[in-house]
Amino acid sequence: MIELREVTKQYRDLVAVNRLSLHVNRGEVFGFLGPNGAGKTTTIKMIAGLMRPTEGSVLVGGIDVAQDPIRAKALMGFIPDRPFLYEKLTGEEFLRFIGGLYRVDGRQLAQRVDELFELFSLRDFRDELIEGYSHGMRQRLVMGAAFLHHPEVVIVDEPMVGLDPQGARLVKSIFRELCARGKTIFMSTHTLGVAEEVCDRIGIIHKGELIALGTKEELQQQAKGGAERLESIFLQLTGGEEMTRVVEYLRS
Amino acid sequence: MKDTFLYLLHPSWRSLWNRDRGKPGSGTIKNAVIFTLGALFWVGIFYLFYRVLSYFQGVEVIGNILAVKLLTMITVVFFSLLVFSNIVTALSAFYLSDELVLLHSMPLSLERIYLAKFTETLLSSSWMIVLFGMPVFGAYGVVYRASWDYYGAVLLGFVPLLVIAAAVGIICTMGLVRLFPARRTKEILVLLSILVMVSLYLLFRFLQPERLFEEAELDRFINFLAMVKTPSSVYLPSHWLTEFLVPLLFGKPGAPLFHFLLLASTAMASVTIGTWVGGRIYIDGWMRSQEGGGTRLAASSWIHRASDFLTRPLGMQTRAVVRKDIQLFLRDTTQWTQLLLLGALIVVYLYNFRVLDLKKIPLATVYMQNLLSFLNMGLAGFVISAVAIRFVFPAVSIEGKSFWLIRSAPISIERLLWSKFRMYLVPLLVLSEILIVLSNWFLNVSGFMMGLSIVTMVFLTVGIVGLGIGLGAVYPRFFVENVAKIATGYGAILYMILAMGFIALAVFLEAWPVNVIFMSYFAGIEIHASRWVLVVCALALVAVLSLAVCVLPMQLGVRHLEARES
Repeated sequence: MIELREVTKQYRDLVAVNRLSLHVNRGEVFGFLGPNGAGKTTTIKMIAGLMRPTEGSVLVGGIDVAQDPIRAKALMGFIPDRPFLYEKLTGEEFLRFIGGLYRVDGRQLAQRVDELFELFSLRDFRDELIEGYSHGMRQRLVMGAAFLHHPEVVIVDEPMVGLDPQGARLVKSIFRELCARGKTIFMSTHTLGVAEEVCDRIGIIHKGELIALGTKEELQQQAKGGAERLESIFLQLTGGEEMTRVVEYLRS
Repeated sequence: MKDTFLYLLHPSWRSLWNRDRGKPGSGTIKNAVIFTLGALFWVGIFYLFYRVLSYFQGVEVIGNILAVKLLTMITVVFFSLLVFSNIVTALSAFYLSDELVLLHSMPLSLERIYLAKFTETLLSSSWMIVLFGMPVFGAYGVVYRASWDYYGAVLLGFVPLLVIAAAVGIICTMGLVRLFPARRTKEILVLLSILVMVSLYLLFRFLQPERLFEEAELDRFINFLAMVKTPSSVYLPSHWLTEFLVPLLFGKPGAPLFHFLLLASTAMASVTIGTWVGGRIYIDGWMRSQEGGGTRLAASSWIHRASDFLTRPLGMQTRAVVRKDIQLFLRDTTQWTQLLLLGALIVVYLYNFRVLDLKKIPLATVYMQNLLSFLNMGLAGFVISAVAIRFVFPAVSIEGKSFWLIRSAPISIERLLWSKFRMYLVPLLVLSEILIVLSNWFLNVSGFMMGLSIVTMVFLTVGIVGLGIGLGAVYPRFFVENVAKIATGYGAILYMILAMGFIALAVFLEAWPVNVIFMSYFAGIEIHASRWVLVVCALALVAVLSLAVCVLPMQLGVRHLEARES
């Protein structure tokens, strides 16, 4: 459903993503992990059509995002890590506006808006201006907006930031439910517990390169010493040397 | 509707509609004040042009020629202002607005986004110029008794002119962003526009427009206008607008329809060309602006060295606070623009004293000079308060979302506030003394008044700065996006009221004994030593008052910020 072919993104002298190739299947929840500055957000922005690769191509549902962005974007719902919201619109006005952009109209839109407010526990706030929403409420509203048009693919950058445990549980179950309905989720996260719990497969990016790919069990095999927790595997693959240096420094 | 670019403007309209929701009352008063000020300004412009054009009308042979020449110059200035304004607005609308990530992640055609942003740019950059331009064209219509056709033509002719200016401005912006980073370009252009505005304001003041109300000066203005070459070209849309309006205005032969068609067809062509250019270069520029790229600053510039040197005598913590504030101030372009505007205010203030002709005032000149010097203390205090409300009052608020850093550091709130007090006291003291010495010098006051003013200004400045820092801490606004907005809140208004009260009280305390001395001097009565004791007592009272006005709000500010933490 999502395919990255030899994708490279270069900013002046810095190669943010280097010849990244990846295939995410339909109905799969794919976790994209990596330390800060590894190239996760750049990759996500290239898939969402917000950046163009310097080399290579990104295909969503078989459509090249750079060649035919409108058709590709119509298949996607995008949830950025720091989402923009119109502060002076109410929650309902915002969702209706998004519905208009995705051509969801009339009774279908009204029904969908009701469903989403109910699902994300925002029913009591639908007529309040967004400027009065808490961080978690905003995050839930943005998710609602991304799911409004029943996208085939959902691209999420850091889905759990600012969510309370209840909200986080809700999002996890929604992801699993969508997956069961054949939708594809591509998410980047730092919350390794979420990745471990929700994702079918995980890719780890480090310094712009994909250094590990597979199910949790496959990653365990790739990591030396047979670490069990994803956190240990992640640190071993990406931050082992740095961590050792930090520990040695603290001891000294 | 949902398939057109206009749908993308829906959130902006809706936001405008919802703007004052949940804020009963406050919006109404603010709107009423803004409306009244705007209406006064509008009437002022109308009256100025009405007066000048009425005079032209009375001038034989060349009167109408001058009126046309002035109209040509006005339309050229309008068109240039519109293009510049569109360039600056387009940078925000097309490249820097947070909304763009949302729009570009949606299945929307580039053409639709371009046209929506084009409309947004056109409206937000043109409305003010159009609003305040209308009294100029209105004055032409009234003075030359134009028919309704003329007023209709003004409205009809302006639409294509605005469209052309927007298209030209946006194409320029797209070209600029291909060469330079969008954010930096905007900062430079905003600064440039403020600089132009300030220069125009100063130029206008230095021309002494009040002299236009004297017949001899109007004659001179006419001679000047007759000699000056009109900076227009037949290829400029502003020229076509003039050619469209002049026949209707003066009932002269011409080709208004031809020029209107020129305007209209060029407007349509410019939108088409702009959309075509946008389709080719806009998205690349936007994506590049997403890639960011940090601004690298020299590790050790002369500014760092100077601030190091100046803060050396301070303690380590005070020094850290002061240096951080200086660095942030110098890197924040919104602060620079405020500085430029206040600089212009001060220059005009001094200039007014320079051109003041005391001989025209039918009272004893020496007495008048000293009385004015007294009023001048109050006015200088007012100017210092105006500077302080912009820079001193927000001093605590600008800690912003990073205030937790200060709170978690081993520095007391008291030390923080006094560090800020010292940082702002020095430049304001220098400024207030320059103001008072120069203006008194222009007034040619006595040595006694000069000395009294210098000492009084020290006290006033201490009070104004202390009050500003203290009240700024009582009413901090840590979460405003734009620093300039801090000076418009409730606390800032309270600060201004208290500062005015303090200045008035201080001047009043000194006024009575000083007046007694002057009256004795003019009456030729010997001045008794007790009179001088009164002056010293008054000065001592002002000193005590200033210290109280400084220290009490500072303590209140400390307590408030500490309580805020708990």
